[in-house]
Amino acid sequence: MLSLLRQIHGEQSAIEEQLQLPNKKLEFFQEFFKKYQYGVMKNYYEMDKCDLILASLAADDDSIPFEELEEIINSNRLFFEGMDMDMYQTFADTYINLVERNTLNEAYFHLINGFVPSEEECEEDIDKKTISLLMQLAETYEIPYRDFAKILKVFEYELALNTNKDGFAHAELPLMHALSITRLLDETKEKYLGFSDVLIDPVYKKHMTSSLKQKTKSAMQGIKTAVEEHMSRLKRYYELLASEDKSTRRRLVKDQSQYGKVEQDLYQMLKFPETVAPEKDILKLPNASIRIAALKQVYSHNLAIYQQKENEYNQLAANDASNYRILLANYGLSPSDYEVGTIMNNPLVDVENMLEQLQKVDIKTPTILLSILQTSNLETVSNFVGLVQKGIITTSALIDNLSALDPTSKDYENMMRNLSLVQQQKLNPRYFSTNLESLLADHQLFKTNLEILGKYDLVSSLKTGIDSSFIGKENLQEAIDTLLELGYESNLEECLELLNHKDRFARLKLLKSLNMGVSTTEELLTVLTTEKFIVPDSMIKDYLYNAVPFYLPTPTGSTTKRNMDLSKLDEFQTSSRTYTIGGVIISKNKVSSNLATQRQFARPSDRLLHSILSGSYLSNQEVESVITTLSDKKIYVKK
Amino acid sequence: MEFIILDLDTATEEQLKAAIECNYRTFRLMSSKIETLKKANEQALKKAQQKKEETFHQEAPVEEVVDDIDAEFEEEVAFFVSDVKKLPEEAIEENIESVLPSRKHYEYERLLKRIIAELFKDYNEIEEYMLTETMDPEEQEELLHDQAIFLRKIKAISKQLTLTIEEITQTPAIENELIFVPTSGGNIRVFDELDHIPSNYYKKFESLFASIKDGTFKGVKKMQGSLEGLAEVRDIPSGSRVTFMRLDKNRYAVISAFVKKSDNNSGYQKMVENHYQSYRQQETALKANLDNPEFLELHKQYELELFRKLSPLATSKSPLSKKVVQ
Repeated sequence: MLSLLRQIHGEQSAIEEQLQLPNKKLEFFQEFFKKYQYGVMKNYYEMDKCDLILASLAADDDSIPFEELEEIINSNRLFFEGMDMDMYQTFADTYINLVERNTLNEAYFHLINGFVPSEEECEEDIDKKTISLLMQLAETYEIPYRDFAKILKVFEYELALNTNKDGFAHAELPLMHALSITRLLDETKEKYLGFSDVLIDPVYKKHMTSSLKQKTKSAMQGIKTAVEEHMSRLKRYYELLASEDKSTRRRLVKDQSQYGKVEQDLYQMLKFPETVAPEKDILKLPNASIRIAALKQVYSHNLAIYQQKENEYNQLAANDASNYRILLANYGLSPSDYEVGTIMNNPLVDVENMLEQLQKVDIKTPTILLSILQTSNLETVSNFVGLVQKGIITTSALIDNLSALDPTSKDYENMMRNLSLVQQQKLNPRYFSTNLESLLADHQLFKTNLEILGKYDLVSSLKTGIDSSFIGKENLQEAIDTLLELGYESNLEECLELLNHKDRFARLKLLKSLNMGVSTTEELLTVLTTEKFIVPDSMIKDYLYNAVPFYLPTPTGSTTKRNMDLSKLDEFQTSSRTYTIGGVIISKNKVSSNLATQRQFARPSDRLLHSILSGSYLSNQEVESVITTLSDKKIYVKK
Repeated sequence: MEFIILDLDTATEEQLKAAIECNYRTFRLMSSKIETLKKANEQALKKAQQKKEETFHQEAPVEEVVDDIDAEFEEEVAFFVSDVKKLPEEAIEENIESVLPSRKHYEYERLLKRIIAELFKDYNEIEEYMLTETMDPEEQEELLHDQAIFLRKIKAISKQLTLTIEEITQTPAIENELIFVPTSGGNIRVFDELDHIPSNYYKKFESLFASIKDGTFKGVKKMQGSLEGLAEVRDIPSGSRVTFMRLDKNRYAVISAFVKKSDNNSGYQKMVENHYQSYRQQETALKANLDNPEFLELHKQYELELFRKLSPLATSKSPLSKKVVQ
């Protein structure tokens, strides 16, 4: 592109130079007709002979450039001024002789180099003598030989015309014609002027016969006609020359402008690579090589744009609803217009890829595929298929939680963040994959519940294959505390899935209050999962009696900041997670959590008792037993 | 619609010119088609969006409230709890079994546990009352006494739950006796009624009468309000019902047999009330005859006749006696 722009600049400069160059020939003719006003005979008599010769030669042909012709005439001015028809004929004969004897070059050689043949040479060689005569002629006119040699060129041109224009009269030869005109002018100048005098002088006019008058007048008219014809011819040439010059200049200006436009077009191409470039200006450039080079640039530039457009077209054409329908039909799907519309949010190629991947994990049911395609995208599907292939989640779990495949859904965000947390904590993601509910849980809740499991030293109870949806449920700590305080610590360690049934823990409380406690984990699961429990769940609260609220110390409003020393309770510790106080099991973490939040007690021992009892379900006897035991140990002071 | 690709090293000016022009035409055509496709796709997406919005604006389906109450079980519980609560304190331990469902009842254990829960609920209500209310010693003593009764009953029922197989086998199985209530005209009402019921219902009725006899009380329901003491056993799918009243420890007055699918029907209510009133008029006479061996024997005969009528495989073809010998 840059080289093309340089070329264009070069062309523009050349045109500019051309426009700046004077048209010497035209200027000469302008001057010529200024000096010798056309149609005014009187001016012609004062005409410079060399001007007429130059004008005549210049008007006839362009074989010799005007500047050179002018230079030849000027440098041989004396010769041309003195030239008459005889001299012309002699010179012409000499020239023809040189040509015929094939010594023209030799003559040039002598004249240009100033090698004057010796007398002996002249005597021996007639050609040399001819050359010598030419050189003498130059000397006669005091013209340097080198300049005089150029006259030969004029005759070369003059006589070549004669040769070429076979049968033409001498009048056709410009130099001869000019000489003829000057001769006529010279001959008639005096007559013309004399005639005028006669016409003016009444005496002479009186003695002049009418016949003479008539003859003189006719002769003058003939000369005038001949001169005017010649001048007219020169004038026509001048006008043609002026017209040609004008036309040439106009063309040059136009070309220059055209190069300017193309230059602009090329700069636009560089500046706006996405805009189609025009070729019309280029086609008007005069320089073919530049034209082709510029066309190549336009072609390449535009083709790049067109190819992008072609890609867009191909993609859009491929993404046409009918193409979606065809693809979906291959997978047994026949969606409605609405469904196709939503699926078209994904490019066709992505939809195809999604379908292929889903097939790999055995998701083939049309309604499920349709649902996924409507809400998901390739990246999300790939992520999930990857998880299935790694065994982190199961296909059925995925099918049960299709909302997770919607990348804009909270479920998706939660799942990704939860999996990331699992990875950070170096836990096996399969612990949470049986039921995706846990992985889809609110991330903050998931994180908190993992911390709770850690606090209760229950992380090691997480196993692959268990339903760990409890990790995504609220109040996990309360659920663990309940099981611990009901005496199911070992069952909990054995089977964390018990926590999934915390909504039915009231059943266990009821059975305990009825002294119908269950012991094995299987029995617990049966109680928690049966649909035929002895009391409907919605009614259990009416059957439960909890003495704790009747015994809890009442908050005073004043705050004690004294830290309770929990080590006092160490003697009641029966496991890493529980105390057993007066036969009543109390969750250690519950006590410490309660202590951290319950401050509004005047007596620290009230605060401790409140922390121990709060959240428990106990009978009167159990509460009494706790209080009595603590009192006996002087940990709690009865009011 | 393809673009002309040239080898620029050899391409002539004419070829370049032609390719540029031709490619431009193709480009224009392609651009136009792209616009058309885009518009079509936009319309499809817009349509989809509209549909989506319409879908979202539809009223959310009303979440179905899952009723976890097993109505049939609750009615059975109410029937038995009522009898347990009425059980006099004098011989709780001895008589408890008579007011409990038969061991043959398919939900025997569940029922017993629930009865315990009901008794415990009452016990706890007293406990809470005593904790929260001030009372005089007399009242307190009375409440403690009531609590003690509840505890005795709970203990007695709990014992039933913990009986060993040997203990159970030593205990004779319950066999209640049926006393057939006559109409004002002297006919046994259930016989009259069964005569008007298609025989394809008989199998159901047979099981209902049998459930009164063996103490399982199929689908039992205790009537409320003015029908105090009246109960019915039901085969809910077919609507077969038998109303009855407890006369003593193991004798039940069979009042009526009929088919009615809905409980909430004024005709049904009216009919039951009429039968109840009719029974009430004869209750004293019936109870007075419970020590009369002849009376009991007669009703044993009725009972045999009843089961013969209801069981198509019954051997005896003798017609049921319809007249009651008072």
